Amino acid sequence: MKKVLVSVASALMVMMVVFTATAANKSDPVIFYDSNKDVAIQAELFEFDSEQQRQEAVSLAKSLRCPQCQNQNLVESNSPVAKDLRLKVYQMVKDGQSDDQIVEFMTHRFGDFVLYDPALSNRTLVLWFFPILLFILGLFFAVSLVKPKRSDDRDID
Amino acid sequence: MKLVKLSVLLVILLSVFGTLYYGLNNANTELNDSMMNEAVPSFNLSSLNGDKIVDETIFVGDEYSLLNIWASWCAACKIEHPYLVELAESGIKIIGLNYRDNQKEAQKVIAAEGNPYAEIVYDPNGALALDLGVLGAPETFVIDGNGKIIARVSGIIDPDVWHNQLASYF
Repeated sequence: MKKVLVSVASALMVMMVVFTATAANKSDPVIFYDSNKDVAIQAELFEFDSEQQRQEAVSLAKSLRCPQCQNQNLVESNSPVAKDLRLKVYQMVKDGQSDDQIVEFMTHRFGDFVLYDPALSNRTLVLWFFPILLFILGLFFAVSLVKPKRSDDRDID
Repeated sequence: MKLVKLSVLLVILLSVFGTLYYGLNNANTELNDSMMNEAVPSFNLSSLNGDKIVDETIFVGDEYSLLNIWASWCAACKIEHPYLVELAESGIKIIGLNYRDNQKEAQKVIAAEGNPYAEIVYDPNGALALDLGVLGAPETFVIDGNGKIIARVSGIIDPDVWHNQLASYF
């Protein structure tokens, strides 16, 4: 049995090597063309006027959602859009623009969705308070489950 | 007591499933509704085959047009491409924005699949797309004769999307 497995595994390995060799030789077109490696480098090596400015810029970038990889903020995400926007945020901070102005720039183009913390409005009231509501409900249920029934207590005496 | 618990459970189940059902079936093609009624941001980019420079005046004219964000690497764009060709043939003016793409690859797609675009803007760095707040490809805008953004739709344009959301503008 083991011999069979070993020979199958090695056959697969050989096939894999052959396949990757031919694939490499075919020089297929790049599937996703990242034309902005230099943007990434610019963003990583961006020179701020002060350490405090850098920290502000980075924390602002972290509060903005990557439009493409929507679970990541602009600093975490490696998508080209995120790199572009990160560089844009850094440039705007260095230019002296306020946080509000930068956020306005982003939400103007991408909508409120780009803010990691959704704004507190009528639409998002449910979003903000539902978890708290659920928590209270859960607490209530937990307590009522644990509380012993009155009738049982009386019998013990 | 059991009946009460059961009915409470039922109510909760129904409301949760109802909400989910409603949410899932209302496929929201307006993921981003910003920039409505604003002019297309000004830009100055080369056309895809490099023969001219294109700017925002390309939208100004007698008719409404579609601005379609696409790329050769975008699988969904390939799906909507034939329908776009159909629409173009029926007289709809479609401007293409080639988004963060390899120029040769994009030209290959046009040569092979047909060209529904009156003009294609080559935007390899996504500069115009960023100004438009493009979330990804495919995304399509409706632009009026003054160059103002009237509507936007994320995702593939198929006959349903066309008739339900876009046809009324044309």
